[in-house]
Amino acid sequence: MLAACALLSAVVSAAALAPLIASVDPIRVDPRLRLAPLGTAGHVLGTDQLGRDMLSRTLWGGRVSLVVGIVPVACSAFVGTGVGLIAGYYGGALDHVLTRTLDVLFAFPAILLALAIVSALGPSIYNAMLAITIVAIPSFARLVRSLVLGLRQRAFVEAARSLGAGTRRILIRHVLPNTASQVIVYGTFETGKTIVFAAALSFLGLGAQPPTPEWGAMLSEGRTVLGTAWHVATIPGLAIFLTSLSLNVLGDGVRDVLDPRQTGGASRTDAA
Amino acid sequence: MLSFVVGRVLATVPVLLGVSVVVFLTMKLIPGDAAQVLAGPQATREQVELIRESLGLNRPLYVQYTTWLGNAVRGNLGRSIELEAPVSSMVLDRLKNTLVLAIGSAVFAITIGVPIGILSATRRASLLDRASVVFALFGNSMPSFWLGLVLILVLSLHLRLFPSQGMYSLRGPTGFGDLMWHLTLPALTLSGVPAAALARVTRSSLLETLHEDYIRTARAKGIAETRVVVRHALGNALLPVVTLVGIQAGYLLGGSILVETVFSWPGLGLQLYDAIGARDLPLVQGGVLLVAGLFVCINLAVDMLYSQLDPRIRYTA
Repeated sequence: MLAACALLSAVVSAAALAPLIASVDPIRVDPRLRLAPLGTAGHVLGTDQLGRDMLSRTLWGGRVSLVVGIVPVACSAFVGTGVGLIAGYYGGALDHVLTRTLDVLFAFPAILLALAIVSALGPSIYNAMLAITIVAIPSFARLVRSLVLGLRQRAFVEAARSLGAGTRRILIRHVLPNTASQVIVYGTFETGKTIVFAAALSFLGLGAQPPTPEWGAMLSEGRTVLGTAWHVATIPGLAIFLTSLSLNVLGDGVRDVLDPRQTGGASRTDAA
Repeated sequence: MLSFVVGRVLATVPVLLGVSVVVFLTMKLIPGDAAQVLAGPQATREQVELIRESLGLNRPLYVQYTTWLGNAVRGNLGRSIELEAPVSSMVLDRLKNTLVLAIGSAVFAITIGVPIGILSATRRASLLDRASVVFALFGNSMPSFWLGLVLILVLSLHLRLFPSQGMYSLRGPTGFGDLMWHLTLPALTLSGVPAAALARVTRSSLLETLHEDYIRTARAKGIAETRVVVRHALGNALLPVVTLVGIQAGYLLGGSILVETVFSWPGLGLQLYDAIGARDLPLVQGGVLLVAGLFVCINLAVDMLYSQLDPRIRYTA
């Protein structure tokens, strides 16, 4: 858990401080230094097929990958929680319609739904983020709805209602805070998975576009030179793996602290 | 029993209809004039109008949907813009190869994940148990497309044990053995996440079952531990695993696009990848509809199987 925190802090700090740490422009092409191996003077992690510095690209790529991983999770947690609160609290026909809609979205393998959305909207990092948000909303909504179904019968909600509290106040002040811990736990796991998922979309050419450094796109570019320069694909892949691993371990730790009874479930963005 | 089956089948109809609506609407997300986008920037006015007419884009939305759905139900998913061939025959042709990959991966996932979970649960807190927890964590965190590249790098390019591309050899025998040889790396890659999930669920489910009263009774009767685990505990412990296999079917079908791209496996995933690159949206739409429909049907089959395996939920729709 401590190691995971340390690793994640290192990844986030390295990405945040990329402009200070990376001395070379990540998109500067140098044809004389194509596919330089690890440990080359001035290029510790070597260069790619266009002679671009791998260290700079990995650090700058981390900024993009982390943003593309975190922002959609925050957006889908926000929307999903709203949908779950409304569906769970009001029940009836509204709940029925929302639940059936979620069922339909769950019927898609996540990556296929994201792929269909981005292929129609056009490949770009923003469209990829939108697609990931749409794909991740149902999981949050279903989680919050199931929690609210239990909470709305509890005595403290009854008490608030009998004291004349309005629905909005009950939902925001009484029900929502009681769902927060599980949403945070799930969101932590989901962030790790979303980073992999976003990288997968970029790997397929649907996310970050060249020459933007992004781990998935870098891995895709490195695939073509795997036999001659293994480091070009391996380094960004290792960065994705270690970030996802540290978030999964952190998720376990956060769960143990915030909600020891929960055992974790299958995620929509497992597909990568 | 019959009413249960009929009820479950009928319950999937609205889901399938919803899936069709979502797939249809994704086509409507195309910004600007869809016919112009699909025809490409070089297209003449006549070509754009031809696409508009052939896809019915000049008609009201609900008419477009009902026509498209009617055609899809009859097996007509339109024509590929790039290859100018019927989408249905193209996707069905490739689906066979994807199913070969998915089944191979499922076999790998079950034969790796379930035994690891069993060994881990029966030797709790041992070194093996810790190793299995690490395996599950790694499997869950590792991007399949990276795992595939690492396997190609080590087992194919360096050790030359397996081929890195394709489904059959271009030269030499192309029988079942050749297929298995080509299948090993992609199937192993795709099985990483499900194997980790199966190991985790098998472990926790078996641990829970081993604490049940009837297991204590079996042990008190002097039955050997192996027999207690295999004959008494495993049957009940594997019930959640069956559900997970259903969930993972979606992963295998969806994840195949990444693995097929890495290994140039000529399945539906690679076809979708190529279609996206060519902006051949009828082909993308057809492929996504087919896979999503298949996923719904697999989950229906798993539900049925589950009700057969667990008498407590039988006949309750």
